[in-house]
Amino acid sequence: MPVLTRWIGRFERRLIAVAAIVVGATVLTAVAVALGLMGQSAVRDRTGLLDDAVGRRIALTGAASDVYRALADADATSLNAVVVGPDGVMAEQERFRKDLFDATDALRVATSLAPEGASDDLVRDLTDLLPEYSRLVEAGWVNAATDQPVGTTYLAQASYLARVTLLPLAGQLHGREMAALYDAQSSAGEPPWDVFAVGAVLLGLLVAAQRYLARTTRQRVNGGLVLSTALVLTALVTLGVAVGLAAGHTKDSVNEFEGVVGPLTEARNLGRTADGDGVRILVFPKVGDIANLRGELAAIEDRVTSAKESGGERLDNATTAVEAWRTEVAQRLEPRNPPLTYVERARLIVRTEHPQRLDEVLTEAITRHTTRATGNTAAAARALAGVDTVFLVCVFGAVLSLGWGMWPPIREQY
Amino acid sequence: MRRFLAVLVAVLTLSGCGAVVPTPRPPRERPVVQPEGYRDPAVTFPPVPGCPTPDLSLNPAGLAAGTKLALNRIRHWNGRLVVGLSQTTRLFSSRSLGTGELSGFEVDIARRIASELFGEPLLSDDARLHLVDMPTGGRLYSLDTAENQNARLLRPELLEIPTVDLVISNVKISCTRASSYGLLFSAPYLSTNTGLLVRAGDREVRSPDGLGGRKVCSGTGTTDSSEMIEIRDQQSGSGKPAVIPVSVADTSECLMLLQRGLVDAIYSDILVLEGFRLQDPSTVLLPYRSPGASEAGIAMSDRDPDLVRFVNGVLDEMRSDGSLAAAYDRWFATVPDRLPIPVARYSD
Repeated sequence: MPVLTRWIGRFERRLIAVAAIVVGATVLTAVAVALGLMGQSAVRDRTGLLDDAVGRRIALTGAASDVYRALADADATSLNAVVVGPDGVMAEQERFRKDLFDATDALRVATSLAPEGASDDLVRDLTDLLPEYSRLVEAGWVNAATDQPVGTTYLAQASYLARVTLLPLAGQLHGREMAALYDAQSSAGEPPWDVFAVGAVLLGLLVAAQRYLARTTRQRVNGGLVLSTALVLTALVTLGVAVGLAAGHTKDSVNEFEGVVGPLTEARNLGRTADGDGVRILVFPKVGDIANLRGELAAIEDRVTSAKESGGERLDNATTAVEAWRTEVAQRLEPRNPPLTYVERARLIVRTEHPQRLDEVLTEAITRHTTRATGNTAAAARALAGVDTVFLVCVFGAVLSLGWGMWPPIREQY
Repeated sequence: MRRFLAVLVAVLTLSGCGAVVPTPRPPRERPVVQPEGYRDPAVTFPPVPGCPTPDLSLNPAGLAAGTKLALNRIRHWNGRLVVGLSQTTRLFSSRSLGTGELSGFEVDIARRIASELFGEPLLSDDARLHLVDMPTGGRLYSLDTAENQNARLLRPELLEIPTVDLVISNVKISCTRASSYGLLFSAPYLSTNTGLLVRAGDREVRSPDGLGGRKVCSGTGTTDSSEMIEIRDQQSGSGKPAVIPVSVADTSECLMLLQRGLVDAIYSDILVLEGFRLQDPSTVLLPYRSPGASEAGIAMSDRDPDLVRFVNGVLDEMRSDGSLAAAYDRWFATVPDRLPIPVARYSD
């Protein structure tokens, strides 16, 4: 009878030990599978965000910026067309029409690239108003050509529409797309803390399983569990290194966009607005125009300086152009005794090439830095390429090793 | 078989009920773009306090006895007369943006004053006459007066307004303006009353009573706008369909609104309305005239009484030699029922 009792007791202990090993193996397998899926998903999410940034968001942000630039340029050109003299009228009118085409085309691109409904309200408002804007300008030109002062009224109304409604809408569109681009890139560079946490739990469980088996079986070291631990560690390190590299690249890209491209785009937009302000002073002067021009030139200089400090290159020409614009045009428009005549002001405002020069220099710099930022984003995407497969293979190998490591202790119980 | 057909019909009917129905496009209105400061309906501004002697200026006869500080400054120190004008009021003073040339009744007056001041006829490009266009919303701040200096201290943006010796820009003579800006007015050079401009299709309209329920545009804060609001209130009081007064910051915007079909009539100075009519032959200046009349004078600083007397002397000469009437006829000949050039009245 005691023999039977002892035998039953031993059988129970073995059964409990087997059950504990089986349950432990199941838990380890479940956590490993969860880790594999989470890791793969984390890598794919980040790769998706970066591919989306390179393939779509950067182009979308560029289109939104083009809408602003084209409309600000149209504002200046619509007024230039009535003061340049007969030789330049057709060229200015053509440029205005091209600006409107560019703005409409950029809006079309923005609509086709934007996620469903993201900027619908802004694009709709802009497309609603562009035909009316065009009508006002064309009516202004027709009347101004026959020296009818109502032409000036139409142009003033068009310019008011551009400055008070169209440009702020375009600015909002650009701001929204820039913010979405920064968000996407920043999210792609964030470490997958949830994956690391589950990985840490799995490593802890593997170590605990090792110690348990060493205590309850004859095996001092379980090869399967060791290999499984090594593979999980490899998967986590690979993921960490890849995401770290990607984060470095996305950080560079965001810095390039935020610190250089953003301020330069703003400076270019301000330049177009200031150009419009200059001609407005000639066509329908209003109190506050000169202060606006002064403020805009100072703001352009601030943005260019800020871009330089953030790594903007070859911007000295921009600084020179703003400085020349200020000293050769804006400062001469300041109140003086005797006040400038129309002809003197026209000579200053219409003949200056500094606004155009500034626009060219800034466009060149924006293109250069956008290309570099896009390259960094693409490098970030490359850093993550294939990491999801490596991660999954390592974790799958860890699960197999787990099975290989768990079978001998179970068999030992029988 | 019958059962099968019944089931088939039921299934097809139910599947039809669940079919996607195309969403109709929501109805949308074309956006209407209004000018800055557009008011619909127009609102009444505080009434201007009465003025005991609004149109009495300084007699040119007093010039010989007094000092000639302003005249000496213009002739000898500055060597130029700076005149502030509008560049967008056809017939009064408007600029060809292509050539930069200014022309109009008020430009003729400015040239004559300058010629008399420097003692010889001036060519159109003579540097001794500086014609400066005034920024919207600030023309009377351009005179060098104590009141304007205080205003410039309080509102630094006013420093942008160029300083001029005279403003000839259809400025209606009023005591409020004189005291607010520290001005002195010349004797009036123009007298006018108010009328209605409509599109040619409305030529049968006789008065504001024919414009019930329709929009009538005037300049914000002007007497014209207040009069139209009063007319509306009278029409409403007597049970007639009332006009809808609307107003804009600059009366010239009313023509654009009329052309775009956003208002149905303009209520303003008939000489200004004639300038609008000439710009748009599809409009008609109605025979309706308001009962009251207003006079325009040349605005100068109250620090320059000798200049006021001198300008009045030039205007007197222009009245007596017929050149003021000739210029008036030259620019406003097409205006029916226009008032004659007012006589000069002096306080001393």
